[in-house]
Amino acid sequence: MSQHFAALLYGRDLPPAGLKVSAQFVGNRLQVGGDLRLEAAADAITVETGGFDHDTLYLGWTDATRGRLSLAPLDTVARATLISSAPATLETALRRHVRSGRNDRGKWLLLGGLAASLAVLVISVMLGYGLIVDWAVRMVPTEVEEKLGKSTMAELRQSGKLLDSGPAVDAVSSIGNKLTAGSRYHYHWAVLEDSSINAFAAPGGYVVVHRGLILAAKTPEELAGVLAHEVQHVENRHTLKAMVNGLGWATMATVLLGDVSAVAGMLAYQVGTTHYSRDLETEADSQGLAALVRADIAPEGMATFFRTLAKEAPQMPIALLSSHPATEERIAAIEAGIQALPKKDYPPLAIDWPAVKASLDQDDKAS
Amino acid sequence: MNMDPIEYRIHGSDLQYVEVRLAPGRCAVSEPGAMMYVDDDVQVSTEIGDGSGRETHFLSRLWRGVRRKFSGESLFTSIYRNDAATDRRVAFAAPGPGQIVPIDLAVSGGTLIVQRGAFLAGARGVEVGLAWQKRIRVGLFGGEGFIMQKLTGDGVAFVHASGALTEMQLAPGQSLRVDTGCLVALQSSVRYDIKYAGKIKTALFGGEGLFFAQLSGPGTIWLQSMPLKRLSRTLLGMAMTANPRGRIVWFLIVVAFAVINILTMDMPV
Repeated sequence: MSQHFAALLYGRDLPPAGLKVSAQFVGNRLQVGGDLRLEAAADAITVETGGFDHDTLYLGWTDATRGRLSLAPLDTVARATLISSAPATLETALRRHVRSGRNDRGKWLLLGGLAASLAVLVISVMLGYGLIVDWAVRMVPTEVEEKLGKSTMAELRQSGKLLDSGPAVDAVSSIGNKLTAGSRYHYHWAVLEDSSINAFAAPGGYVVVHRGLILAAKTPEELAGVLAHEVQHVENRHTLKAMVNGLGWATMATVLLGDVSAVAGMLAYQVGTTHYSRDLETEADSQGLAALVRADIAPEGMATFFRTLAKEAPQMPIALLSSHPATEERIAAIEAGIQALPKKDYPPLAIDWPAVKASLDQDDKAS
Repeated sequence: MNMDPIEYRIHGSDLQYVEVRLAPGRCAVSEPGAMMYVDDDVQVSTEIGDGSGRETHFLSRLWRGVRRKFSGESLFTSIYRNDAATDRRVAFAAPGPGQIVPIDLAVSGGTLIVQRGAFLAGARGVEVGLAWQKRIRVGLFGGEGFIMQKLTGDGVAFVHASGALTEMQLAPGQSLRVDTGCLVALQSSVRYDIKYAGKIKTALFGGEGLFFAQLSGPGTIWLQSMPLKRLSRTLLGMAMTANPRGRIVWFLIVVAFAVINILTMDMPV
């Protein structure tokens, strides 16, 4: 019982696209029909895998007159017939050919899997970015923060403009200690002899208020509003978070853009970090309000002071690139936060505010 | 599918164009923008897809067009039809230095796989499709990428590649090692694989790269002497050494940006 299959025969004197022939296995011999009348013994035949897709089956042998010949089944039906009717001597080689066709499927699956897991990783990093930064920051012990803060203060002290005592420092620390009761940080309060309206917090509980800010504040509650905001930077380790975030963006920009587009990298870095710092400022505002309420200090001071600030500071040209929330937006958010609080009468702060301001004026004259 | 047999003549030596003579009622197809000149009375139209006229549904033609696009051709095909009573001419010019080779798909068994973007023009009925490289290592290191063009039909296709083009017959079992990127076209019966150059020293200093393309017969292959990649590398090298100022300007921009960035940093309020 023999089965014919259609095939293409390739050889030196045959057309380059192959000659269509009919072939069959008879016992242990391959017979090629048509005008050619070729025969080959099965043990002289080699099974080869070829073609552009590496999925074409070739039976190759050397003919005495025609030289090297190759026979490929014409279609899948012919291929199946060839494989099923082949003598036992070719069986292992044919099985190897069938297996080799599946080789790259596993590789494609692996590649697809890798790409998918990379995508999942990227998406989860994007979604869990805050959590990752929080985790990285939590790894840093408080002592490191203390050291960072201390070195910042040491530099300021060298300028000789730092006040450690006096009515102004007393006022700042009495309000500050009220706000930070029960904190894990040991706070240090100081006043800097600088007429610009500013205040900042170094990590580890070092809070510095510029003289200009105290002179601009109409009530001690306004100063309390600013301090409540600054304290949140310390409590939530914002400086560290900004550092970690900056590091993350710098790494990402380098990895994604390479060093070729350094400009684009820096742009991405800047947009990424300033956007992040705006988020931190907003967080400090809202949590600062809560701290004021906890300390039993009237929270309106924060809103009224930022109104004063809005008049003094020129508007940032591009809202997205400013390191602080657009002032109008920010005040609106604070006022909304105050509105949401339960109505309550707060006792006024027991501080002789004109005297505090006067002490700073005198310092000014002395220097 | 009835193919339109066409007469043609290729002109020029290194910067070639092909002039096709269209019998009355006959059509030729080409890449949009390949046309150089055309006689009066030849109707020029543009179709989405490959202009084979096989697909009538708009979406299936669009899909064919998208596949063409991936294979480095345009979404559209220009069709030139001779409406006159006598023969008319249309000529297609190669987009760069190199040669145009006519390949009769009927002789090649109806299918030919060519380099991305190599198809220039052909008889109506030549379909341009996509040949996806299923072998990952061949796709990565074979020099042709994962996508090549698949030309099917049984008319003449004009294929263009840079440098000198040569046609070679590979007998069954005969193998040829080719520098990656020099392969222009091959019959689908040819096995296309890559071969590790074998010696690190050869790879680093021989200038041939880590891999060769290995082509095994039976079948016909077409090779180009000057892959565009090689040419552009030479030109880029010349451009860089000829213009050192460019790099200095970039360096200054980067430094200026860094300085501005540092100056505008501020402390949290």
